Amino acid sequence: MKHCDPEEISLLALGETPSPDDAVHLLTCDECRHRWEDLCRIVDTARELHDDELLAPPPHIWAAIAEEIAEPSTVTALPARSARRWAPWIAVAAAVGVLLGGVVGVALTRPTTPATTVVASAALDPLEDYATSGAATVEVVDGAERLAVNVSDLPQTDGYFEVWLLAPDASSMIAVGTLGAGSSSSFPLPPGVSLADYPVVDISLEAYDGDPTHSAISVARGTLPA
Amino acid sequence: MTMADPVDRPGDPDLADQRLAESFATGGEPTFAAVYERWSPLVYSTARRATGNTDEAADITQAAFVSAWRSRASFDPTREPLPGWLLTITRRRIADRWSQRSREPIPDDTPDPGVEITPVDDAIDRILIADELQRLGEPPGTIMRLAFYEQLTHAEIAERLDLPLGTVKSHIRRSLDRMRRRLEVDREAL
Repeated sequence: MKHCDPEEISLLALGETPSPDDAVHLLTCDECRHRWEDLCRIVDTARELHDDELLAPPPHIWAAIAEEIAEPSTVTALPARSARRWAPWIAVAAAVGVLLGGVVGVALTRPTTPATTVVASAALDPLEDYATSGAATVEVVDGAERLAVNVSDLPQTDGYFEVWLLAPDASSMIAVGTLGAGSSSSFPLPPGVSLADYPVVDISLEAYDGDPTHSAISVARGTLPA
Repeated sequence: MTMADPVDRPGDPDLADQRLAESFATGGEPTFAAVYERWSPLVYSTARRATGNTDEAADITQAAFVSAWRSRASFDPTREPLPGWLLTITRRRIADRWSQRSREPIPDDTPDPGVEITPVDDAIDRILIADELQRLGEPPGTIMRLAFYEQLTHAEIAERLDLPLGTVKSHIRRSLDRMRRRLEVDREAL
């Protein structure tokens, strides 16, 4: 007997009505029935998921782990993002809006002014004890790529804030520039830098200590989409 | 079982996961930070569902990742998937909490309002499916959310998203197969 089409079994698991042939076949074929039962369990479980099913642990947990595993005098890079919330409804609304608009994802070009094209953007979320948040946008202005950063709620400091591009595992980084007093700045991207290799935008709090390297104190971070 | 095809596609999340798993045993703290970033939501969310308490879930997450760091040399990426290995450790740390709780009451271990307690294995299934759903990309992610949560038929989804029927059907089959395979692969390690 001919097996059910796997695509049809998937639709049946989602609750669509089987054709008479498929219905009869499912009663008699163990292989197709097992597949159907497996998929039904997945569909049932997926439909029970809550908005907050998959949550990132609170940011202080990483600090506690890093402290526990750290060897003396090593500085540990913070994980790339602080909190992440999974919300299917919001995601559906956003994605449907995006699809209906005829634009898939944020990586496609969207002209803002005749000479400026936004090629990617990322939300910057606060890290650790900070409240700083905002957005980073990669723009092509007259053919040259620039990184625009706009943040609010920077902490009080005697130092200054620096913008960095980090590798996903924070193993290497590039200093992009110093954030101006207005907390909104745009920087030319260093030539030859691939955002695929350095997708993480990081804002660090630096002291005027003559040390050009990252202070290891980050106040906000976000990842540009691939 | 192959987790990803050998062709190097930039931005392929399966390939990125595989690379991360391959470098975990010998990598240093930056790799470990990336592993934590990628998989700590699975560990934390499983613990949160299993205990019903966010503080306990945080403690379990910390204990699980410290264990993972200390025993990383024993992880063999050719024998088991890293998320399955991490969830095995998580399950042990959850069991530690239960046995500790049976000996002496843990203060403040009452479930937080709104956090439903689920048996560990069910919790793991939920979290793996949620993770896979989140990683489907577009348009499969939207298609599956419409199928799961709005319970639209494939014909209604095709109309809503202005996609051919065949495309929607094939995304649905592939997405459900991915979830099924993910449960098989990561469960095998437990």
